[in-house]
Amino acid sequence: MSTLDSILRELDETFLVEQITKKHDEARIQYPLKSITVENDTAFDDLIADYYNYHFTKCISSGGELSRAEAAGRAKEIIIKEYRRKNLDKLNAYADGKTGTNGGMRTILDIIMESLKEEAVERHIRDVIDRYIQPSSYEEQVAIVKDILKKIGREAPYIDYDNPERYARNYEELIRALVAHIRNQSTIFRRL
Amino acid sequence: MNSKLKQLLEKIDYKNLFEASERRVEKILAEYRSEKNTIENFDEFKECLIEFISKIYGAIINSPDAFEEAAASIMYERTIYFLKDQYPQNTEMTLYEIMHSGAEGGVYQVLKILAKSMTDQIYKDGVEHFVSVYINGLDFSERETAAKEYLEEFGDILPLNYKNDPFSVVISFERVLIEHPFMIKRLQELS
Repeated sequence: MSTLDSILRELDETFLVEQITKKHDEARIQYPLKSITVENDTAFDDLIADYYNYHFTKCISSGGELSRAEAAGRAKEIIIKEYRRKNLDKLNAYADGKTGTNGGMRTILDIIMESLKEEAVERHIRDVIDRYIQPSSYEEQVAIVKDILKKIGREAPYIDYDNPERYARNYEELIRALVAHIRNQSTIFRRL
Repeated sequence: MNSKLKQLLEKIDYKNLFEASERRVEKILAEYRSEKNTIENFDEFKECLIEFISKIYGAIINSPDAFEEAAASIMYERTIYFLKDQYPQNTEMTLYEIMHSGAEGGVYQVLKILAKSMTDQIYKDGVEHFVSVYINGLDFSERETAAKEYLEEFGDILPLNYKNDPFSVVISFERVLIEHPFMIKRLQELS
């Protein structure tokens, strides 16, 4: 099996689901809530800290727990980032948690889970790429770019197939693009 | 604003018509617990969806057990109907693949989309029903008067093409009223 094939195998959607994302989704679905609201800001912080610690110990640290402040702090960073993305701030998150709007605490916990899952996938991708291609080896980078160009075929007029060295430093972007392309195809084919 | 129009707008307001139902649906979703986020086979797939949609229907009408005995085939058909928007092509097999493999968020993601699609659609149906009853009870001049009153009250938040052309509001009054609570909800969410 070529280096590229080995990389693609470990970044394949089925592999990612089995090895990474499934346990995150399962952890979330095993943590039911009695209510979608919390009484006040302190209860909000308590719940996100408890969930973060639960998820962290179950899926990431295999047991090593964080302090309440550390867990709440990390959870809040995730929540704030997500609310900022929607042009909102942390007060909106507290309001949602206290009123139950937009799914209340259920959605808040989903946000934490999705972020931890995404981080885990990203760590895995980085590990696979660095494991198969040493970040400081120019030769390995040229070789993998050659493999990628071979895989995509000589059909794109804008690609300089004869000079793979030109793209050597962008090997990581090219691998990610190829993986994303394969994943899109699998999403499309799942719907046919 | 005349009292009939005011009553209608109060009735179709999200908070009054549907917020309580949506909270109950959210509670069902929040309480949902399963050991795994995938299903093993087609029977389990159907069972999972039927059980969930029955709970959601029960939550919407605030009668948790009302749909426990409902015909499984009807509940399953409704599930596919509600998920068709999100998974338009080969809906049933796409859902099965997602729930079986755990890809794209697996079972939990499908149930979340199902709950959201149901609440959106059932609220919209409710709004359309009340607006239709109201509009059918008006003759043309009453409709014209009501549309003008509506414009006086809400003209500032309507798109400019409506605000500057009152007659278009009269013509599209039913559509405008159907959109009204969604517009107000979006504005409330901004604040």
